[in-house]
Amino acid sequence: MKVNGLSFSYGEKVIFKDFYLDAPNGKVTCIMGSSGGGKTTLLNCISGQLDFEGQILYGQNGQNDIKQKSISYVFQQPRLIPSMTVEKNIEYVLPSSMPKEQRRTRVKEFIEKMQLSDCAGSYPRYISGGQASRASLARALVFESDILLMDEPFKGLDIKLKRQILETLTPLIKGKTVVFVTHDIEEALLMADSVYVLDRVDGAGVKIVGKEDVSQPREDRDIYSDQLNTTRQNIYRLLTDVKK
Amino acid sequence: MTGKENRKKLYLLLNLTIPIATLVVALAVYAIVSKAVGIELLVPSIPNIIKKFFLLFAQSSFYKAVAGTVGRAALSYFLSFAFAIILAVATKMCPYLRRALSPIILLVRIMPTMSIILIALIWFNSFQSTILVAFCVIFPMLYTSFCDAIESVDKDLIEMSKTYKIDRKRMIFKMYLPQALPVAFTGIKSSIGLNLKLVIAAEVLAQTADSIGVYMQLSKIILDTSTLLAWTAVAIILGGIFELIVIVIEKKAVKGR
Repeated sequence: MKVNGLSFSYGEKVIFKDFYLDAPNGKVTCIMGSSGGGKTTLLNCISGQLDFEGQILYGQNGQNDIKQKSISYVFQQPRLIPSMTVEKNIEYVLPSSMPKEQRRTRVKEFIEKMQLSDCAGSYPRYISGGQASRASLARALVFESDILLMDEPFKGLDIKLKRQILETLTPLIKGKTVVFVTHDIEEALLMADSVYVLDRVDGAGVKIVGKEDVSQPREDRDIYSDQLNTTRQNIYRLLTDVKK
Repeated sequence: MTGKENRKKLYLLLNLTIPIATLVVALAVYAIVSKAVGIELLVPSIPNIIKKFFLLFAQSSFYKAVAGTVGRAALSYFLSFAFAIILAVATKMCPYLRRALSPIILLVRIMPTMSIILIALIWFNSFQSTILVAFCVIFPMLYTSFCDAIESVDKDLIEMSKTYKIDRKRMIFKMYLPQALPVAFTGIKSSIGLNLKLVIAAEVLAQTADSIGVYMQLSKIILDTSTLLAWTAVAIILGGIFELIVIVIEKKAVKGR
Protein backbone atom coordinates (compact mmCIF):
# COMPACT_ATOMS: atom_id res chain seq x y z
CA MET A 1 0.00 0.00 0.00
CA LYS A 2 1.36 3.38 -0.97
CA VAL A 3 0.36 6.79 0.32
CA ASN A 4 1.30 9.18 -2.49
CA GLY A 5 1.30 12.92 -1.97
CA LEU A 6 -1.44 12.93 0.65
CA SER A 7 -2.70 16.39 1.58
CA PHE A 8 -5.40 17.03 4.14
CA SER A 9 -6.39 19.97 6.33
CA TYR A 10 -8.97 20.57 9.04
CA GLY A 11 -9.98 24.07 7.97
CA GLU A 12 -6.83 26.20 8.29
CA LYS A 13 -4.97 23.49 10.22
CA VAL A 14 -2.68 21.58 7.85
CA ILE A 15 -2.41 17.93 8.88
CA PHE A 16 -0.80 16.41 5.78
CA LYS A 17 1.01 18.24 3.02
CA ASP A 18 2.39 16.08 0.23
CA PHE A 19 2.91 13.11 2.55
CA TYR A 20 4.35 9.78 1.38
CA LEU A 21 4.39 6.42 3.17
CA ASP A 22 4.89 2.80 2.17
CA ALA A 23 3.03 0.05 4.02
CA PRO A 24 4.05 -3.17 2.24
CA ASN A 25 1.25 -5.59 1.39
CA GLY A 26 1.02 -8.53 3.76
CA LYS A 27 3.13 -6.75 6.38
CA VAL A 28 2.37 -5.01 9.67
CA THR A 29 3.22 -1.33 9.68
CA CYS A 30 3.14 0.48 12.98
CA ILE A 31 2.64 4.23 13.28
CA MET A 32 3.87 6.00 16.40
CA GLY A 33 4.26 9.63 17.38
CA SER A 34 3.04 12.31 19.72
CA SER A 35 -0.65 12.83 20.47
CA GLY A 36 -2.39 15.03 17.91
CA GLY A 37 0.31 14.12 15.41
CA GLY A 38 -2.05 12.99 12.63
CA LYS A 39 -1.89 9.22 13.22
CA THR A 40 -5.66 8.70 13.50
CA THR A 41 -6.23 11.13 10.61
CA LEU A 42 -3.94 8.98 8.46
CA LEU A 43 -6.00 5.87 9.28
CA ASN A 44 -9.21 7.80 8.58
CA CYS A 45 -7.84 8.83 5.17
CA ILE A 46 -6.88 5.23 4.37
CA SER A 47 -10.33 3.98 5.48
CA GLY A 48 -12.03 6.51 3.20
CA GLN A 49 -13.74 8.43 6.01
CA LEU A 50 -12.02 11.66 5.01
CA ASP A 51 -11.78 13.32 1.64
CA PHE A 52 -8.18 14.11 0.84
CA GLU A 53 -5.94 15.16 -2.02
CA GLY A 54 -3.40 12.70 -3.38
CA GLN A 55 -3.60 8.95 -3.76
CA ILE A 56 -3.62 5.89 -1.57
CA LEU A 57 -2.88 2.91 -3.76
CA TYR A 58 -3.05 -0.80 -3.14
CA GLY A 59 -2.07 -3.89 -5.12
CA GLN A 60 1.01 -5.70 -6.31
CA ASN A 61 2.09 -2.81 -8.48
CA GLY A 62 0.24 -0.27 -6.39
CA GLN A 63 -2.18 0.42 -9.22
CA ASN A 64 -5.53 0.03 -7.46
CA ASP A 65 -7.34 2.76 -5.61
CA ILE A 66 -7.75 1.89 -1.94
CA LYS A 67 -11.48 2.69 -2.14
CA GLN A 68 -12.05 -0.56 -4.07
CA LYS A 69 -10.55 -2.64 -1.28
CA SER A 70 -12.29 -4.07 1.74
CA ILE A 71 -11.03 -2.57 4.97
CA SER A 72 -11.63 -3.50 8.57
CA TYR A 73 -10.93 -0.92 11.23
CA VAL A 74 -10.43 -1.17 14.98
CA PHE A 75 -11.33 2.38 15.99
CA GLN A 76 -9.85 4.17 18.99
CA GLN A 77 -13.29 4.05 20.61
CA PRO A 78 -14.95 0.62 20.22
CA ARG A 79 -17.96 2.06 18.31
CA LEU A 80 -20.33 -0.76 19.28
CA ILE A 81 -24.01 -0.36 18.45
CA PRO A 82 -25.76 0.07 21.84
CA SER A 83 -28.95 -1.75 20.79
CA MET A 84 -27.11 -4.94 19.83
CA THR A 85 -25.48 -7.57 21.98
CA VAL A 86 -21.73 -8.11 21.65
CA GLU A 87 -22.42 -11.17 19.49
CA LYS A 88 -24.76 -9.23 17.17
CA ASN A 89 -22.26 -6.36 16.96
CA ILE A 90 -19.63 -8.76 15.68
CA GLU A 91 -22.09 -10.38 13.26
CA TYR A 92 -23.20 -6.96 11.96
CA VAL A 93 -20.22 -6.61 9.61
CA LEU A 94 -20.62 -10.00 7.93
CA PRO A 95 -22.10 -9.85 4.44
CA SER A 96 -25.86 -10.51 4.19
CA SER A 97 -25.15 -13.12 1.53
CA MET A 98 -23.31 -15.37 4.00
CA PRO A 99 -25.43 -18.39 5.11
CA LYS A 100 -26.83 -18.12 8.63
CA GLU A 101 -25.05 -21.21 9.97
CA GLN A 102 -21.72 -20.03 8.58
CA ARG A 103 -22.22 -16.62 10.15
CA ARG A 104 -22.96 -18.18 13.53
CA THR A 105 -19.91 -20.45 13.41
CA ARG A 106 -17.61 -17.62 12.35
CA VAL A 107 -18.87 -15.24 15.02
CA LYS A 108 -18.59 -17.94 17.70
CA GLU A 109 -15.02 -18.67 16.64
CA PHE A 110 -13.95 -15.06 17.10
CA ILE A 111 -15.89 -14.67 20.34
CA GLU A 112 -13.87 -17.56 21.74
CA LYS A 113 -10.59 -16.28 20.32
CA MET A 114 -11.10 -12.86 21.86
CA GLN A 115 -12.26 -14.40 25.17
CA LEU A 116 -15.69 -12.82 24.96
CA SER A 117 -17.86 -15.86 25.74
CA ASP A 118 -18.88 -14.43 29.13
CA CYS A 119 -20.33 -11.27 27.65
CA ALA A 120 -21.43 -12.39 24.17
CA GLY A 121 -25.11 -11.94 25.07
CA SER A 122 -24.61 -8.62 26.89
CA TYR A 123 -25.35 -5.16 25.57
CA PRO A 124 -22.32 -2.80 25.27
CA ARG A 125 -23.37 -0.62 28.20
CA TYR A 126 -23.04 -3.60 30.53
CA ILE A 127 -19.51 -4.64 29.53
CA SER A 128 -16.11 -3.34 30.62
CA GLY A 129 -13.85 -1.11 28.50
CA GLY A 130 -11.48 -4.01 27.91
CA GLN A 131 -14.32 -6.27 26.73
CA ALA A 132 -15.56 -3.53 24.41
CA SER A 133 -12.06 -3.16 22.92
CA ARG A 134 -11.89 -6.92 22.31
CA ALA A 135 -15.38 -6.91 20.78
CA SER A 136 -14.23 -4.18 18.39
CA LEU A 137 -11.15 -6.26 17.56
CA ALA A 138 -13.28 -9.38 17.01
CA ARG A 139 -15.58 -7.42 14.68
CA ALA A 140 -12.58 -6.25 12.64
CA LEU A 141 -11.16 -9.76 12.41
CA VAL A 142 -14.41 -11.55 11.59
CA PHE A 143 -14.74 -9.32 8.52
CA GLU A 144 -12.69 -10.68 5.64
CA SER A 145 -10.65 -7.72 4.46
CA ASP A 146 -7.58 -6.89 2.44
CA ILE A 147 -6.43 -4.25 4.91
CA LEU A 148 -6.70 -4.11 8.68
CA LEU A 149 -6.42 -0.72 10.37
CA MET A 150 -6.07 -0.56 14.15
CA ASP A 151 -6.02 2.59 16.25
CA GLU A 152 -4.66 1.80 19.72
CA PRO A 153 -6.45 -1.56 19.68
CA PHE A 154 -5.17 -2.81 23.03
CA LYS A 155 -6.03 0.26 25.06
CA GLY A 156 -7.69 -0.70 28.34
CA LEU A 157 -6.31 -4.25 28.43
CA ASP A 158 -4.12 -5.45 31.29
CA ILE A 159 -0.63 -6.71 30.39
CA LYS A 160 -1.53 -10.41 30.76
CA LEU A 161 -4.66 -10.16 28.61
CA LYS A 162 -2.86 -7.97 26.08
CA ARG A 163 -0.14 -10.64 25.71
CA GLN A 164 -2.80 -13.36 25.23
CA ILE A 165 -4.69 -11.32 22.64
CA LEU A 166 -1.46 -10.47 20.81
CA GLU A 167 -0.59 -14.18 20.66
CA THR A 168 -4.06 -14.96 19.30
CA LEU A 169 -3.77 -12.14 16.83
CA THR A 170 -0.40 -13.17 15.36
CA PRO A 171 -1.65 -16.10 13.21
CA LEU A 172 -4.87 -14.25 12.32
CA ILE A 173 -3.11 -11.31 10.69
CA LYS A 174 -0.55 -13.39 8.83
CA GLY A 175 -0.41 -12.24 5.21
CA LYS A 176 -2.72 -9.30 5.88
CA THR A 177 -1.77 -5.68 5.25
CA VAL A 178 -1.99 -4.12 8.67
CA VAL A 179 -1.50 -0.50 9.67
CA PHE A 180 -1.75 0.13 13.37
CA VAL A 181 -1.30 3.07 15.64
CA THR A 182 0.04 2.72 19.15
CA HIS A 183 1.84 4.64 21.87
CA ASP A 184 3.21 1.43 23.36
CA ILE A 185 6.72 0.44 22.15
CA GLU A 186 6.23 -3.13 23.42
CA GLU A 187 3.12 -3.57 21.26
CA ALA A 188 5.04 -2.19 18.28
CA LEU A 189 7.96 -4.57 18.85
CA LEU A 190 5.67 -7.59 19.20
CA MET A 191 3.50 -6.83 16.19
CA ALA A 192 5.23 -4.68 13.61
CA ASP A 193 7.45 -5.44 10.64
CA SER A 194 8.28 -1.75 10.40
CA VAL A 195 7.70 1.17 12.74
CA TYR A 196 7.27 4.74 11.50
CA VAL A 197 7.56 7.64 13.90
CA LEU A 198 5.63 10.71 12.80
CA ASP A 199 5.65 14.30 13.91
CA ARG A 200 3.50 17.23 12.90
CA VAL A 201 5.03 20.65 12.36
CA ASP A 202 2.60 23.59 12.34
CA GLY A 203 1.97 24.73 8.79
CA ALA A 204 4.11 22.00 7.22
CA GLY A 205 1.95 19.04 8.27
CA VAL A 206 3.02 15.55 9.28
CA LYS A 207 6.53 14.33 8.51
CA ILE A 208 8.20 10.96 9.02
CA VAL A 209 10.99 11.49 11.53
CA GLY A 210 12.27 7.94 11.46
CA LYS A 211 11.66 4.32 10.54
CA GLU A 212 12.76 1.14 12.25
CA ASP A 213 12.42 -2.36 10.80
CA VAL A 214 11.86 -5.46 12.88
CA SER A 215 13.15 -8.46 10.98
CA GLN A 216 12.64 -11.30 13.49
CA PRO A 217 9.69 -13.62 12.77
CA ARG A 218 6.70 -12.45 14.80
CA GLU A 219 6.10 -15.89 16.35
CA ASP A 220 9.58 -16.09 17.92
CA ARG A 221 10.13 -12.53 19.00
CA ASP A 222 11.78 -11.92 22.31
CA ILE A 223 11.28 -8.25 22.98
CA TYR A 224 14.10 -8.34 25.54
CA SER A 225 16.64 -9.68 23.04
CA ASP A 226 19.67 -7.47 22.30
CA GLN A 227 18.50 -6.81 18.76
CA LEU A 228 15.03 -5.67 19.83
CA ASN A 229 16.47 -3.73 22.76
CA THR A 230 18.45 -1.69 20.25
CA THR A 231 15.30 -1.16 18.15
CA ARG A 232 13.40 -0.17 21.30
CA GLN A 233 16.07 2.42 22.17
CA ASN A 234 16.03 3.80 18.63
CA ILE A 235 12.23 4.14 18.67
CA TYR A 236 12.37 5.69 22.12
CA ARG A 237 14.93 8.21 20.94
CA LEU A 238 12.84 9.10 17.90
CA LEU A 239 9.73 9.50 20.06
CA THR A 240 11.43 11.64 22.68
CA ASP A 241 12.93 13.81 19.95
CA VAL A 242 9.42 14.28 18.61
CA LYS A 243 8.20 15.40 22.00
CA LYS A 244 11.00 18.01 22.23
CA MET B 1 -33.93 -13.88 49.82
CA THR B 2 -30.99 -11.49 49.29
CA GLY B 3 -30.97 -7.83 50.26
CA LYS B 4 -30.82 -6.88 46.58
CA GLU B 5 -34.00 -8.86 45.80
CA ASN B 6 -35.74 -7.30 48.81
CA ARG B 7 -34.81 -3.81 47.63
CA LYS B 8 -36.08 -4.64 44.12
CA LYS B 9 -39.41 -5.87 45.54
CA LEU B 10 -39.75 -2.77 47.71
CA TYR B 11 -38.96 -0.57 44.71
CA LEU B 12 -41.64 -2.30 42.57
CA LEU B 13 -44.17 -2.08 45.43
CA LEU B 14 -43.51 1.65 45.91
CA ASN B 15 -43.70 2.23 42.16
CA LEU B 16 -47.18 0.73 42.17
CA THR B 17 -48.54 2.01 45.48
CA ILE B 18 -47.44 5.65 45.30
CA PRO B 19 -49.44 6.52 42.12
CA ILE B 20 -52.48 4.59 43.44
CA ALA B 21 -52.24 6.46 46.75
CA THR B 22 -52.09 9.79 44.89
CA LEU B 23 -55.20 8.83 42.90
CA VAL B 24 -57.05 7.78 46.06
CA VAL B 25 -56.16 11.08 47.76
CA ALA B 26 -57.34 13.08 44.69
CA LEU B 27 -60.64 11.17 44.60
CA ALA B 28 -61.07 11.64 48.36
CA VAL B 29 -60.52 15.40 48.00
CA TYR B 30 -63.10 15.46 45.17
CA ALA B 31 -65.59 13.47 47.28
CA ILE B 32 -65.14 15.90 50.21
CA VAL B 33 -65.64 18.93 47.93
CA SER B 34 -68.70 17.30 46.33
CA LYS B 35 -70.18 16.57 49.76
CA ALA B 36 -69.38 20.10 51.02
CA VAL B 37 -70.93 21.81 47.97
CA GLY B 38 -73.90 19.44 48.07
CA ILE B 39 -75.21 20.44 44.62
CA GLU B 40 -75.23 17.49 42.21
CA LEU B 41 -75.47 19.88 39.23
CA LEU B 42 -72.19 21.61 40.09
CA VAL B 43 -70.00 18.92 41.64
CA PRO B 44 -71.68 15.54 41.15
CA SER B 45 -70.88 12.71 43.54
CA ILE B 46 -68.47 9.95 42.51
CA PRO B 47 -71.14 7.18 42.71
CA ASN B 48 -73.37 9.21 40.39
CA ILE B 49 -70.53 9.71 37.86
CA ILE B 50 -69.76 5.97 37.98
CA LYS B 51 -73.48 5.21 37.43
CA LYS B 52 -73.60 7.57 34.42
CA PHE B 53 -70.36 6.12 33.13
CA PHE B 54 -71.80 2.61 32.99
CA LEU B 55 -75.10 3.89 31.60
CA LEU B 56 -73.17 5.20 28.59
CA PHE B 57 -72.27 1.64 27.63
CA ALA B 58 -75.94 0.76 27.27
CA GLN B 59 -76.43 3.32 24.47
CA SER B 60 -75.55 2.49 20.86
CA SER B 61 -74.70 6.17 20.29
CA PHE B 62 -71.83 5.77 22.79
CA TYR B 63 -70.06 3.23 20.58
CA LYS B 64 -70.62 5.34 17.47
CA ALA B 65 -69.21 8.39 19.26
CA VAL B 66 -66.16 6.51 20.57
CA ALA B 67 -65.54 4.91 17.17
CA GLY B 68 -65.91 8.30 15.44
CA THR B 69 -63.51 10.09 17.79
CA VAL B 70 -60.98 7.26 17.79
CA GLY B 71 -61.16 7.08 13.99
CA ARG B 72 -60.61 10.82 13.59
CA ALA B 73 -57.80 10.79 16.17
CA ALA B 74 -56.16 7.85 14.38
CA LEU B 75 -56.50 9.49 10.97
CA SER B 76 -55.14 12.85 12.10
CA TYR B 77 -52.27 11.15 13.94
CA PHE B 78 -51.48 8.94 10.96
CA LEU B 79 -51.35 11.97 8.64
CA SER B 80 -49.18 13.95 11.07
CA PHE B 81 -46.90 10.94 11.55
CA ALA B 82 -46.58 10.19 7.83
CA PHE B 83 -45.87 13.82 6.84
CA ALA B 84 -43.46 14.26 9.76
CA ILE B 85 -41.45 11.15 8.94
CA ILE B 86 -41.31 11.87 5.19
CA LEU B 87 -40.22 15.46 5.76
CA ALA B 88 -37.73 14.51 8.52
CA VAL B 89 -36.05 12.00 6.19
CA ALA B 90 -36.11 14.58 3.37
CA THR B 91 -34.57 17.12 5.79
CA LYS B 92 -31.75 14.68 6.57
CA MET B 93 -31.04 14.38 2.85
CA CYS B 94 -31.40 18.10 2.20
CA PRO B 95 -30.55 20.09 5.37
CA TYR B 96 -31.79 23.36 3.81
CA LEU B 97 -35.32 21.96 3.97
CA ARG B 98 -35.30 22.39 7.75
CA ARG B 99 -34.50 26.08 7.28
CA ALA B 100 -37.20 26.36 4.61
CA LEU B 101 -39.81 24.73 6.82
CA SER B 102 -38.79 26.50 10.03
CA PRO B 103 -41.02 29.61 9.61
CA ILE B 104 -44.10 27.48 8.92
CA ILE B 105 -43.32 25.12 11.79
CA LEU B 106 -42.73 28.08 14.13
CA LEU B 107 -45.90 29.85 12.99
CA VAL B 108 -48.10 26.79 13.48
CA ARG B 109 -46.44 26.02 16.83
CA ILE B 110 -47.01 29.45 18.36
CA MET B 111 -50.43 30.07 16.77
CA PRO B 112 -53.18 29.73 19.42
CA THR B 113 -54.99 26.40 19.00
CA MET B 114 -58.32 28.18 19.30
CA SER B 115 -57.44 30.38 16.29
CA ILE B 116 -56.63 27.28 14.25
CA ILE B 117 -59.95 25.71 15.25
CA LEU B 118 -61.97 28.84 14.41
CA ILE B 119 -60.22 29.43 11.08
CA ALA B 120 -60.59 25.75 10.16
CA LEU B 121 -64.29 25.92 10.97
CA ILE B 122 -64.74 28.82 8.56
CA TRP B 123 -62.83 27.15 5.73
CA PHE B 124 -63.72 23.48 6.10
CA ASN B 125 -66.51 21.15 7.21
CA SER B 126 -66.58 19.75 10.76
CA PHE B 127 -64.84 16.46 9.88
CA GLN B 128 -62.01 18.16 7.95
CA SER B 129 -61.65 20.83 10.65
CA THR B 130 -61.16 18.24 13.38
CA ILE B 131 -58.45 16.47 11.40
CA LEU B 132 -56.76 19.73 10.40
CA VAL B 133 -56.66 21.14 13.93
CA ALA B 134 -54.99 18.04 15.33
CA PHE B 135 -52.64 17.90 12.34
CA CYS B 136 -51.57 21.54 12.73
CA VAL B 137 -50.51 20.98 16.34
CA ILE B 138 -49.20 17.41 16.19
CA PHE B 139 -47.27 17.56 12.89
CA PRO B 140 -44.74 20.22 14.03
CA MET B 141 -44.18 18.33 17.28
CA LEU B 142 -43.55 15.04 15.49
CA TYR B 143 -41.47 16.63 12.72
CA THR B 144 -39.14 18.31 15.25
CA SER B 145 -38.94 15.12 17.26
CA PHE B 146 -38.14 12.95 14.20
CA CYS B 147 -35.50 15.43 12.96
CA ASP B 148 -33.88 15.32 16.42
CA ALA B 149 -34.13 11.52 16.40
CA ILE B 150 -32.31 11.27 13.08
CA GLU B 151 -29.70 13.78 14.28
CA SER B 152 -29.19 11.75 17.46
CA VAL B 153 -27.73 8.81 15.53
CA ASP B 154 -24.06 8.51 16.49
CA LYS B 155 -21.93 9.78 13.58
CA ASP B 156 -19.11 7.44 14.62
CA LEU B 157 -21.41 4.45 14.09
CA ILE B 158 -22.40 5.75 10.65
CA GLU B 159 -18.70 6.02 9.74
CA MET B 160 -18.04 2.56 11.15
CA SER B 161 -20.86 1.10 9.04
CA LYS B 162 -19.59 2.86 5.92
CA THR B 163 -16.05 1.57 6.52
CA TYR B 164 -17.37 -1.99 6.66
CA LYS B 165 -19.52 -1.27 3.57
CA ILE B 166 -22.75 -2.29 5.33
CA ASP B 167 -25.70 -2.20 2.94
CA ARG B 168 -28.26 0.57 3.32
CA LYS B 169 -31.13 -1.72 4.42
CA ARG B 170 -29.11 -3.24 7.25
CA MET B 171 -27.82 0.16 8.30
CA ILE B 172 -31.38 1.52 8.55
CA PHE B 173 -32.85 -1.42 10.44
CA LYS B 174 -29.91 -2.39 12.64
CA MET B 175 -28.21 0.93 13.28
CA TYR B 176 -30.32 4.02 12.45
CA LEU B 177 -33.72 2.88 13.74
CA PRO B 178 -32.64 1.41 17.10
CA GLN B 179 -30.75 4.62 17.89
CA ALA B 180 -33.33 7.06 16.61
CA LEU B 181 -36.37 5.31 18.09
CA PRO B 182 -35.87 6.26 21.76
CA VAL B 183 -35.74 9.96 20.82
CA ALA B 184 -38.67 9.58 18.41
CA PHE B 185 -40.73 7.81 21.07
CA THR B 186 -40.33 10.77 23.43
CA GLY B 187 -42.15 12.89 20.86
CA ILE B 188 -44.71 10.18 20.10
CA LYS B 189 -45.54 9.66 23.79
CA SER B 190 -46.03 13.36 24.45
CA SER B 191 -48.15 13.88 21.33
CA ILE B 192 -50.44 10.83 21.27
CA GLY B 193 -52.54 11.93 24.26
CA LEU B 194 -52.51 15.56 23.14
CA ASN B 195 -53.81 14.48 19.71
CA LEU B 196 -56.92 12.95 21.28
CA LYS B 197 -57.47 16.04 23.44
CA LEU B 198 -57.26 18.28 20.36
CA VAL B 199 -59.64 16.12 18.33
CA ILE B 200 -62.21 16.24 21.15
CA ALA B 201 -61.75 20.01 21.56
CA ALA B 202 -62.27 20.52 17.84
CA GLU B 203 -65.32 18.21 17.91
CA VAL B 204 -66.86 20.35 20.67
CA LEU B 205 -66.53 23.52 18.62
CA ALA B 206 -67.26 21.95 15.23
CA GLN B 207 -70.27 20.01 16.52
CA THR B 208 -69.00 16.93 14.71
CA ALA B 209 -71.64 14.21 14.46
CA ASP B 210 -70.96 10.90 16.27
CA SER B 211 -68.21 12.23 18.46
CA ILE B 212 -67.28 12.35 22.13
CA GLY B 213 -66.92 16.12 21.81
CA VAL B 214 -70.50 16.68 20.67
CA TYR B 215 -71.89 14.58 23.53
CA MET B 216 -69.75 16.51 25.99
CA GLN B 217 -71.14 19.77 24.58
CA LEU B 218 -74.67 18.35 24.78
CA SER B 219 -74.18 17.37 28.44
CA LYS B 220 -72.93 20.88 29.17
CA ILE B 221 -75.94 22.51 27.46
CA ILE B 222 -78.45 20.43 29.45
CA LEU B 223 -76.35 20.91 32.62
CA ASP B 224 -75.82 17.18 33.05
CA THR B 225 -72.44 17.55 34.77
CA SER B 226 -72.23 13.90 35.86
CA THR B 227 -72.60 12.71 32.24
CA LEU B 228 -70.02 15.33 31.14
CA LEU B 229 -67.61 13.91 33.72
CA ALA B 230 -68.48 10.35 32.62
CA TRP B 231 -67.56 11.31 29.02
CA THR B 232 -64.38 12.90 30.38
CA ALA B 233 -63.56 9.59 32.07
CA VAL B 234 -64.09 7.84 28.72
CA ALA B 235 -61.69 10.30 27.05
CA ILE B 236 -59.11 9.76 29.83
CA ILE B 237 -59.37 5.97 29.45
CA LEU B 238 -58.98 6.23 25.66
CA GLY B 239 -55.95 8.51 26.07
CA GLY B 240 -54.51 6.03 28.58
CA ILE B 241 -55.03 3.15 26.13
CA PHE B 242 -53.25 5.10 23.37
CA GLU B 243 -50.29 5.83 25.66
CA LEU B 244 -50.19 2.22 26.84
CA ILE B 245 -50.07 0.98 23.23
CA VAL B 246 -47.15 3.36 22.55
CA ILE B 247 -45.31 2.19 25.70
CA VAL B 248 -45.77 -1.49 24.69
CA ILE B 249 -44.50 -0.78 21.16
CA GLU B 250 -41.57 1.20 22.59
CA LYS B 251 -40.61 -1.66 24.93
CA LYS B 252 -40.59 -4.07 22.01
CA ALA B 253 -38.78 -1.73 19.64
CA VAL B 254 -36.10 -0.20 21.87
CA LYS B 255 -33.45 -2.66 23.00
CA GLY B 256 -30.25 -2.49 25.01
CA ARG B 257 -31.16 0.52 27.17
